[in-house]
Amino acid sequence: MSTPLDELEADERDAHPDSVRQRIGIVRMVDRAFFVFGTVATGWLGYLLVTESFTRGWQNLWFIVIFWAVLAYLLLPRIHTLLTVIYVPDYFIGRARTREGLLGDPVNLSLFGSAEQVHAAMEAAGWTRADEVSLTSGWRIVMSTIMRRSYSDAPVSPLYLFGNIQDFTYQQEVAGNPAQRHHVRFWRAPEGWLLPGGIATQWLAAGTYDRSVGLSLFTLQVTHKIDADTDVERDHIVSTVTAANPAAVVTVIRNFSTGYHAVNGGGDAIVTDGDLPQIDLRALPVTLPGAAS
Amino acid sequence: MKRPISIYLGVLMILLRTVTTVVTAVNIALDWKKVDISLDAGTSADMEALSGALLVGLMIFFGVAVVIDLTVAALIFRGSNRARFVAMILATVLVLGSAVDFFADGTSFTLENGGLLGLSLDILVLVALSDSDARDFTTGNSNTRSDARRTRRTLRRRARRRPRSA
Repeated sequence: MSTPLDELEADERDAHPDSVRQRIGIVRMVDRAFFVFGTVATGWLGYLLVTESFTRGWQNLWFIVIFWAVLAYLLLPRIHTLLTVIYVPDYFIGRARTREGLLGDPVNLSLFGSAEQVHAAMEAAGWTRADEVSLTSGWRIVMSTIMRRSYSDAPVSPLYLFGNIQDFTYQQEVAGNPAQRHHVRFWRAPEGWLLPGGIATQWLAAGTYDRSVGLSLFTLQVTHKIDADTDVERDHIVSTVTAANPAAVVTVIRNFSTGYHAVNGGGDAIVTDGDLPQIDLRALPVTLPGAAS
Repeated sequence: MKRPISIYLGVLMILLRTVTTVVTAVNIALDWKKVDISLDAGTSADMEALSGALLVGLMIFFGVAVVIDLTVAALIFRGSNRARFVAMILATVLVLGSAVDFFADGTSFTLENGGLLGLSLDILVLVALSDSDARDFTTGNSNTRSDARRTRRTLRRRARRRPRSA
């Protein structure tokens, strides 16, 4: 049954179809033009900052810091964004992508089940859900780093799969060390979407282990370096989930990604045996909200 | 949609730009006596009146610029797509003007003469507002508002056309 609002919108669309689409197209083109011009202007700003810091000499080292900040957080990411639109294909290649379009963490886990079952399984296995990136969480990160307090729900950087940011992230802290962390991002696969080879899945996850803080190879940003042996993290996730959830069933797609792994968005090499474990959580009991535990 | 960091940064940069505009205006006003306006305007009393009028005119111009900046910043914060475009156009014009100065006339942009600060802020405004998150936030909000407006308008038209049954 269509609501009055649906009928209204349908009428409007029938009345002015092409003009609306044309207007949106022009607006988007102008937006892109501003984006490109902003990138060029940032390049010019970087040049001015470099020449200025040379005239100032080494006494004003803080100027070099500003130049690095502009380069790492404004100029290089934008250049990568513009280039990856041209050079990096948009289909599924077993890797999540950074905001700039660079290849990120490898997809090394596949799951079946509802969102509630996934949440229940991960929490039972001892993982905590990470906060979303926001001003409040950013503030808490700064405070916890300064005061050397543990922030167990610290957010993770955004990675994209199917064009979307991760639906949620689970993580495990390492003895109060903010530079090291287990984390796994989850993306819900589109309805009816099949893995290469025709295998069905409902959730895809990328689990990696942060071993230290460093500079990204591509953007010079401060970032976490991940451990090259992502299989260790993948097997850790599978073992914790199956140990805590006896109803989970694991099958393994052998050599799923043996053919293609190189360097992730932070410039880290990735080594893997290429297997993709599939965890079936559909048999997991899910408590209804309000039920007594 | 939740307000992204690039909107906060863009609005912050606009506000900082407004501060520099105010500082520039104040500096001009304070140094006005030292400004040597050699005008062939007859008696010195006339020249003083003319320079006074010029000062007032300049202050009004700066005042209008500040008001526009603050209004645009507030509208962008609330999610207006048009305000975002206005701010980007203004920033582009300023940056292009500086570029012409730099490349054609060889004007230097340094920290001392204040040129680098103003130019940096203009470029940062442009970069922050042309970010994809900022674009999604304002187009999302503007679409919601224009959809609501269109719905109200069409509802009114329909109510007028269709006679109310008792």
